[in-house]
Amino acid sequence: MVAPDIGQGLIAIGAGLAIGLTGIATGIAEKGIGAAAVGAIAENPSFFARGLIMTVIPETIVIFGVAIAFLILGSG
Amino acid sequence: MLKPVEMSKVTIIGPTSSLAATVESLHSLNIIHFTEAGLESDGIFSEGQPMEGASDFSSQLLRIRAAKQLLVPHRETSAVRYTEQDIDSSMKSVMDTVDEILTTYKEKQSLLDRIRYYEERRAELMPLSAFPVKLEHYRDLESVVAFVGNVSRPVDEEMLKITSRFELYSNDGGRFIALFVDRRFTSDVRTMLSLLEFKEFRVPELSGNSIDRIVEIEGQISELRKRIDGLDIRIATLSAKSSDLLNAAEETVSADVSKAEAPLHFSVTEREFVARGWVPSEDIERLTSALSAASGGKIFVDVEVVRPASEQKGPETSGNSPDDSPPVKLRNVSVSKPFELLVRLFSLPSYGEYDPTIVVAITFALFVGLMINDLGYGILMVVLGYILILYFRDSRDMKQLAYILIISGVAGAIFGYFVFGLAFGFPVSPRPLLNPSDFSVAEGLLLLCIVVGLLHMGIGYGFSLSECVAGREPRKALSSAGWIAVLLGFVTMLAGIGRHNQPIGKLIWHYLFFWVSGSSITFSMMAIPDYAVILVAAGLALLIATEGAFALLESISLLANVISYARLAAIAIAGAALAGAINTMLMPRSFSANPAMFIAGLFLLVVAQIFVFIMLTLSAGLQALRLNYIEFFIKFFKGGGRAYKPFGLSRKYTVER
Repeated sequence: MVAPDIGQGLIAIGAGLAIGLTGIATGIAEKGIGAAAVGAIAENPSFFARGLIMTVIPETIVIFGVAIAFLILGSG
Repeated sequence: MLKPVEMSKVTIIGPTSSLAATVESLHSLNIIHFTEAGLESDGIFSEGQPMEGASDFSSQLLRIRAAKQLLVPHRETSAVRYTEQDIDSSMKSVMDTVDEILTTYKEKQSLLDRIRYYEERRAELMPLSAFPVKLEHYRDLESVVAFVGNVSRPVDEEMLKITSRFELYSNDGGRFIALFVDRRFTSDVRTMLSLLEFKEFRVPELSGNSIDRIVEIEGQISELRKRIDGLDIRIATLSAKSSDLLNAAEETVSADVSKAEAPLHFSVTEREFVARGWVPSEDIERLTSALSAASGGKIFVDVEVVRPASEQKGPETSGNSPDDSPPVKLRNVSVSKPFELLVRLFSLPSYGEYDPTIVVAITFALFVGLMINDLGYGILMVVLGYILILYFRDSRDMKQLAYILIISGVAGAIFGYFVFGLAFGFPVSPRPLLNPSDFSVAEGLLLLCIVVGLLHMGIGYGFSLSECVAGREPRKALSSAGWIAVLLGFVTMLAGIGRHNQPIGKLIWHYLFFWVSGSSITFSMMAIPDYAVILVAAGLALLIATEGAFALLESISLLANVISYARLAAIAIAGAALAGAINTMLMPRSFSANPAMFIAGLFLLVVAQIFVFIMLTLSAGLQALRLNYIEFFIKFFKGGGRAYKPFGLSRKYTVER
């Protein structure tokens, strides 16, 4: 097996960080919204759709992370 | 198909003598959605009263429902269909059955109460059963006093300090005691016990040996249990025999109740009544001819077709209170009908608005198919959907959900075979279109999904544009056009950046963006086509002119919306990668020569595959839903429609004649 050069390794780490950190950020952001949404749905099930929408809004953060990861990998 | 059914406002006026015939006829038509009686201001009209027998029907219905609750649930034998006449003529025997069920239940409850009573008595005797003392001796002795109860620690030593003339029985490590002492020492012993936190135990006022009493009580309990078993058998027999009949009776009687209470929706005077409601315009003919047949032409029906607010000329015309707007009945072909569930979960479209169900149906199936992208998981979804249909025959929502699962599963299976060529992560197709583990393919797929997003959101803006044009609102129409330009600009920009990607990016650039000139400007090492810049600038200019500078900020969120579609590809690739990783790790174990390893490996493989399936299905479904709700609906959808609930009966257990 050929040893990969250090640049490639750094690129991979960068891509991993982009996805991992944005994933954590999404999780933190969704935590509060999700808890509140579940509470609202328990009171009134017709809040389901709105609750879902509110909960998944921060998911865009991790999608950005994925997009950035691809840009980083593509530039290497 | 894109708009809810057109409704007409009908006003039915007739003499009170034909009220019953009118109600009967409206009920069997099952097309009118009553509006509440708006009492005329001159005070001639009053609210209608329920017809005779309404309260009898209601109490009958209450009893039938109570009895139905108590029956043992069993699979419907849907072959039996009662006619309304059957039920009417056998009403007495139906009510007898209901009474029998209710009395049996009451009897069972009273037996259960008695069992509870005996169990309490037994619990009281239990602690004493360890002591060889007759029950009467706890209270009837002259020279000796008994202390029975709990103490915090054994009392022997403390007792010896007071006197040796005592008899002590203890249990529970000395903490439950029966202490018999010479009456003379009563107060000393009481003081000592109170220091040991003595809690007195009430000895039941029975006599004889406590164990004998317990055996007696247990005999009585088992006797009662036997009687309860007998009653349970009776209820089970009654369930098997009459649950179909009760279902049918419930349907008939609830129809009777709603007919008898129908006049509550009417305005009446002494001689005539006025009923108002909404009827689909296409059914007006049926309504008028049925009513004139029922009353011999004595009834007058006034019809007013209501155009959606957006198509009316001039500012808001007829009353706009929410109760005044027409109810909404969606019209969809049978394949897209289940997806009404997803639209309703968000909100029912308002009257005259575009019904997005058909777009949701197509995109939801497409998105889920793209994300699942696996023949095996697709087939599993179909099977799951079929099982759901079998289990939830009664619930419309669950059935619709099951159909959605089946349709999306079929899409997933087709994508899986032809695009990635995978089944449970194993390659199955000889020539798959794409290899998900190829980086360049993954990149191209992200771009493809963004282009799909362009179409999806473009339809949303198209709906909004068309509504603004129909409503003659040039400013709003121009701003929709502006958004479309910005959207197209953003996607052109991304397609331009990815145009060198092999093979997807190149194909997209070649076939979809052929109209874009090759020239571009370079910005932070990315070549952005001139056309993209022009489109975004032109769109933004239009937006600033129509909506103000705030639109600049919002355009950023549109960019976020566009990139958001990349999740389709991301989940598809992640799913394939996850299944592939599991297979690579666990397959060698499953084909081990060691039988123990073989079984363990196979078990782990199955568990892991189920895990991937659940994760993938859940996240694919939620993401497809989200793309529709957030990226698509927000562009045009208002919602807040009232559901169309016609006066009548959708029969399940009975037939009319």
